[in-house]
Amino acid sequence: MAVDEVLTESLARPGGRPFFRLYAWEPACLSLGRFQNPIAGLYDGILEQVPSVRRPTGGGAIWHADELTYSLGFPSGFFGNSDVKSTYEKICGFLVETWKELGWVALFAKDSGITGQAFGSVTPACFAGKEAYDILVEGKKLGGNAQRRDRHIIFQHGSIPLSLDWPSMVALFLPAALPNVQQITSLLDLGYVGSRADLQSALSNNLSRILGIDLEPDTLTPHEVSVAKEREQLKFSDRDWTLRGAGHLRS
Amino acid sequence: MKMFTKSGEWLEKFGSHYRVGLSRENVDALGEITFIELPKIGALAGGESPSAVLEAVKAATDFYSPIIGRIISVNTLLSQTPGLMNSSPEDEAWILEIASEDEFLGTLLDEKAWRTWMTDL
Repeated sequence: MAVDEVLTESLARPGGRPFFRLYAWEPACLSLGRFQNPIAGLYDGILEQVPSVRRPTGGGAIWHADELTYSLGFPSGFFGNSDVKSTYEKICGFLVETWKELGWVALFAKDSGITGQAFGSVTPACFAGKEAYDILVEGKKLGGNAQRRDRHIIFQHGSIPLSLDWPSMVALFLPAALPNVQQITSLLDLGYVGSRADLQSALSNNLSRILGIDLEPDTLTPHEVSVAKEREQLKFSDRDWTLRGAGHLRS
Repeated sequence: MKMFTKSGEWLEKFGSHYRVGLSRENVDALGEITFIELPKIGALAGGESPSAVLEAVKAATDFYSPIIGRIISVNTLLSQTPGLMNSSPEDEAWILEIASEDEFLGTLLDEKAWRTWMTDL
């Protein structure tokens, strides 16, 4: 989270460049949405028992275990005068294309013909919700995405589960908050047999093609590393920040 | 009279203070608003620092006051009923009241000009 925050700050400065970052979690970690109240939907005291962090992006909690996570940052004007939903459609196009290349039926939920399910409700567990621009693969929700915006940048986080750690999810989320296991999926469930590197390459290529951009490998500057370490210590590792954020949370 | 900035915030002057909020078009672009983080009364608003954060179903977005001044009131109704932002963004869902001697320095549009400008975009 600290690295993502530092990258968005670099992007917001004059001459800042868009970025695409892929990463994984070690150890597994529970992330809370920016304004999520941890007393809703999670077992009491669970944040004392597992690694946890608060994201800058909105939405519900995600248990990051065996997954590939991405973060993307663009200048706010990159997509023109685009609203949240249309930028989702543009940005998430690289995911849809990647899943289609693997031979799967991949659609935004809004295009899936699903009826009788309300889009747009907020759920304590990100994977339990279904939004118009969530991606359904073979009819089931694969991962989740959320944005953070200010007047300078559009930042998006996304989670791609390689497999679902269902026992941990059952231990974390109250029964009423658990995703319906019949309605979510992972790459393992879908039969993906490629490597993590293959997946990263396919995602990068499709992002480049869909948005018409060139991606260049890059590393953090020494200054960015230093600021990220400091931010990790002072903010993202701070239990008070994780539990209470800036002090105003959804009820 | 309510006036709009070209980035979609509105402000209305009441004596020595301003009431500010977000245009219907900007709220519609965010989608369903689910939470609003309001600032403390007495804080400074305006400039490069966001004064509030709006969380929609798929995005959290900063709100920047169009006028610089001291916050004298926040719309606490929005804390209990964030959906008011969607149903009444330019009336009941005002966000802040700001005491300010300043005038907005950029271009301001009246409601008709704002709607026309948005339509022409």
